[in-house]
Amino acid sequence: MLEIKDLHAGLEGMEILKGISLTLNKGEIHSIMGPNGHGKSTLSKILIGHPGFSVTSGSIAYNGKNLLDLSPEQRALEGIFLAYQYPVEIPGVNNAEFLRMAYNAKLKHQGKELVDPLDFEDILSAKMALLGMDEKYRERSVNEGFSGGEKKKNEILQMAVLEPQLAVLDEIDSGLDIDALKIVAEGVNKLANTGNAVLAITHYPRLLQYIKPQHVHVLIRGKIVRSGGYDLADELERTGYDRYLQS
Amino acid sequence: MTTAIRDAESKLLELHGKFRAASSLLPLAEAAALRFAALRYPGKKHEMFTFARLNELRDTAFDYRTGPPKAADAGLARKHIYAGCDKSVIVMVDGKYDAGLSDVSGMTGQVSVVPLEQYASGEANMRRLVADIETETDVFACLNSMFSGGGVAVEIKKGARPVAPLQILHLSTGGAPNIATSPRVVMDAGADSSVQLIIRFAGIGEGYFVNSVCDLRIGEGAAVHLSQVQGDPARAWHFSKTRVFVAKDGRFDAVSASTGGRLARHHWECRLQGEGAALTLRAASILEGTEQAHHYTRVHHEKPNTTSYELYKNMLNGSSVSSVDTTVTVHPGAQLAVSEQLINNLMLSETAKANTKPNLTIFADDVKCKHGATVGRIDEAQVFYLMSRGLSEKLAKALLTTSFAKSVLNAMPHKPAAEDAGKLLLKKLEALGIELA
Repeated sequence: MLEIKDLHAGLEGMEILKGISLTLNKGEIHSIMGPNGHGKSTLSKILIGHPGFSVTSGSIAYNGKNLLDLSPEQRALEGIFLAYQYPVEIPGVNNAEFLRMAYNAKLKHQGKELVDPLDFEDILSAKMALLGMDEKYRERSVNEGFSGGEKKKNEILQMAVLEPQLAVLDEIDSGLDIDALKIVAEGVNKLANTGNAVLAITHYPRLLQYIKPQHVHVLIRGKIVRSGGYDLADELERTGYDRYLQS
Repeated sequence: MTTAIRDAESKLLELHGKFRAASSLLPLAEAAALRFAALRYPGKKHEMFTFARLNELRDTAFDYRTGPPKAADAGLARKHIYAGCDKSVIVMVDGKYDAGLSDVSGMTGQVSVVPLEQYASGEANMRRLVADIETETDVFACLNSMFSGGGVAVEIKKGARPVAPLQILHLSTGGAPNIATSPRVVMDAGADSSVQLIIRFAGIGEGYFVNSVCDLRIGEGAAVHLSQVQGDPARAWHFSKTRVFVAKDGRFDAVSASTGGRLARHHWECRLQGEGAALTLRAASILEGTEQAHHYTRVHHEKPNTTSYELYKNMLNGSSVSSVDTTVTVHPGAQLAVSEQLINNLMLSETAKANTKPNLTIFADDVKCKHGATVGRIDEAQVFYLMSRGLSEKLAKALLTTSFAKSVLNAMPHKPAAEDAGKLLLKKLEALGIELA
């Protein structure tokens, strides 16, 4: 589904990613781990097409297409979803209305019939029930006045509605207490299936205890320095990143 | 003082001289003329009109509608009466209460509506009207009382909590050039009452000047929620002065939508006179061309434990001009007052001008007061967030632009009023090529 080859990328002329290669297949959950400031979030921004970041060399293929040729909205319409580390607040934009617009944009892209507000109510209700979410998420403005945990839950609600093929979770665990973390992780688990893939970016192994990735990669100074199975997350919990930083 | 200002002043006083013989509220009109002469017609450096361009208004010779009410077009009135308000509506035509078009039969026993002259025939009521004008600082509010007649007095009975909103519709019928009208509304909300009030300004024709004054006295434990929609045509002048007096544990919540105009000015004077009194004031305007909209607000915390929250959102295109000049004064002894003023301006062109002047004057030492102002363009982080969910850039920008105003307008509790305000303001964005979501 996703094939990154020797990716070099950065911000304002500064190279942050220095040759990353990574392959994700359908049904897989991968995790990128590493300390702060080593390029994890840059990778997520590159995947979603943030205009502030630029790719200097390498390639990213997504379902056989050159991802770097696609605009941010095209990437979203093709099924890539980024759950933000810091979701922005949008006062005045009703959450349910926004979700319906995003949902319909995707249907339109797929050449399907659009849903009206009443039908979408049912779709949203089903997703909210699946995630055990409060009604307030329907009526409030997008992320406005939400606590850190509420914003992350709202990201997962969007993911549930949009049913992405590739979900990139950028530090979805940051700022969450244990209970909120469990809820968010359970939401991700309910949505992960054999038809999609998840790339979970985190620097704490705690999240991974809940979503159990099959593949774990350690990102240090813009390079993947080690890859392994879930055991690698366990090991990092015990040893930390020091040995990688010193080498 | 310039000759133009002196001329304008003399003409208005001369006009008042002719009008006074026919005035139905003579003591008020006389007191207002005295106050007008003392305050003088404002010049460019007047503190209250720093940001408003008054020249055109000053130099226009208006026909003050002081005679009997004009027969109004019932169809025009019906067009602006909101669903749910057909049995709870007061219609003012060119500033005059029109009993024929008004219908408050749905509020019998809860609300009483009488002509202002009847209200003012009570000695205490007239004394109060005169006392208010003697301390008035806004020269245009004085002008209203100099020429007002045919206004309306509304009483919300003690403990009344009508389910339906009460709408006051101000209609300007135009018909001749440069007509000036002076609508006057006095409302008393009795103790423990609760009412939703909607004030809609609408009109046809060009170049009229509506100079309105509304007094709201909110009793102990009472609550008034005001939704005000200023939808005059683009070539009209609109001035409104709203005096609000809130007693102990009373509450005033207001949402104001302004389409601007040749010159639209909203003056809010709010006095929190009892402990625990609270107010919120949210205002939005969308301006284009050379339109102007100005908010001038003075909030007085006169007693302890009072709270105020103000939010202004202006969206400006073309060479339009807005201003928000707001001062919160915490009076001596008004401890534990809490206030917040926030002004947001969204600039859609290089030549528009947004003026902001939030002020605090504090004479107590245990209060929490803050103010802030922003001037900017559409937030690119928000645009990207929406695009990353599959929305096109154009749709994302349209959604964000409309949401900027909707965040205020959606606070109107009566949905038809909120929708009307939304249509009035947001249709301007369509004219700018912004596709509405």
